[in-house]
Amino acid sequence: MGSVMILKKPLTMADSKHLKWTLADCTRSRWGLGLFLNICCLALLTFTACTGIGEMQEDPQKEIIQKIKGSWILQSVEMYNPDLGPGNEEDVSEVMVGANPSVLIFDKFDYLIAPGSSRHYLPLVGNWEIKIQGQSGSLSFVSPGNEFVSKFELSEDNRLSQSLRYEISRQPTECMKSYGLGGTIYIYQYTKLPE
Amino acid sequence: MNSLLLIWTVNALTALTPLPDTTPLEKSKVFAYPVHHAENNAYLADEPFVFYYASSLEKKESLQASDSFAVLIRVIGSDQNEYRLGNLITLNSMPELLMKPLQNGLYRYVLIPKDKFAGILPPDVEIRQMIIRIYSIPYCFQDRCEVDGAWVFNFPCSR
Repeated sequence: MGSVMILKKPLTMADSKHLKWTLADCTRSRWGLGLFLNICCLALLTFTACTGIGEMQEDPQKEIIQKIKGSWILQSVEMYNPDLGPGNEEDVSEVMVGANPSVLIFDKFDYLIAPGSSRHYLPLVGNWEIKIQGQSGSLSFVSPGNEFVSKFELSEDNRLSQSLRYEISRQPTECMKSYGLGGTIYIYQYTKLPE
Repeated sequence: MNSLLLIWTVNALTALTPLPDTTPLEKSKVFAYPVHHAENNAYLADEPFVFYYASSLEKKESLQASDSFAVLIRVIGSDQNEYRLGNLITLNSMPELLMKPLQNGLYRYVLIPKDKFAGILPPDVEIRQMIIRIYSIPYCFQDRCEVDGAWVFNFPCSR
């Protein structure tokens, strides 16, 4: 009876004396020992679950980097004029995605677009980088003289998805600027190849 | 009397205010994408060029029953010469020039001009202008199979 009363009290590290006493006390009856072990198991389970959740929420950047590494195959390309607003995307896969599959490979630091017949307004080799800030992130493709940054919103879908989608807009030349050209945005969509 | 004058003034001002032209499809049987609001009608030769024909707006009676159309494309190079993709003689046997039918009588043709003319233009010659005409297929070698009009697009910049 005494042991039950003590176990109802919350246990802390400071109560180690009590814990020691409780353990000794508990072993005196089978019923008390069973209850004590049950509570220990419950505490252990709660601790494990809490640690697991902590790990999942700890570093989304690391998680996304791991998901991106590998080979991706180009599926479709759409284009749109930002001046016209959303809903004006035009599917141009038939001329942008070549007959040969186009593969984008993310290594530890480098990216490589394997030579194919698809059209990419992106240097075929360079470095890549992911940055996460709060609920948004950016994927950068960097090569000498060029940097394309594509921003995205971080959601559960992004983190679990097997598809990669980025938007790029060409850097306009002086001539393009003078004619109001170069603002078209291209949306590239890839799916991951099995490893 | 004063309120009537106010209504008249508001109406007059509304009529004078120019509205932006945001409905190319409703006005023209042919339009291109990307849509540029600039008057120079300029495009880039190494980017996709999408060309639409709305046959439902066709006024020529001989074409109203047609359900297959093809394009003939000519370009003017930076050397001032003209280059052609296909010709009227071979038009019926060139499926790569057929427009793709969409819904509601809309037809679409998409190309990257630089890629399409890669084997036709000499090296170092850039596309400066592109002229598109539309024909009903099978082409009958007569005016009744030709869509009236030739559409001109400029390519002022080289990359």
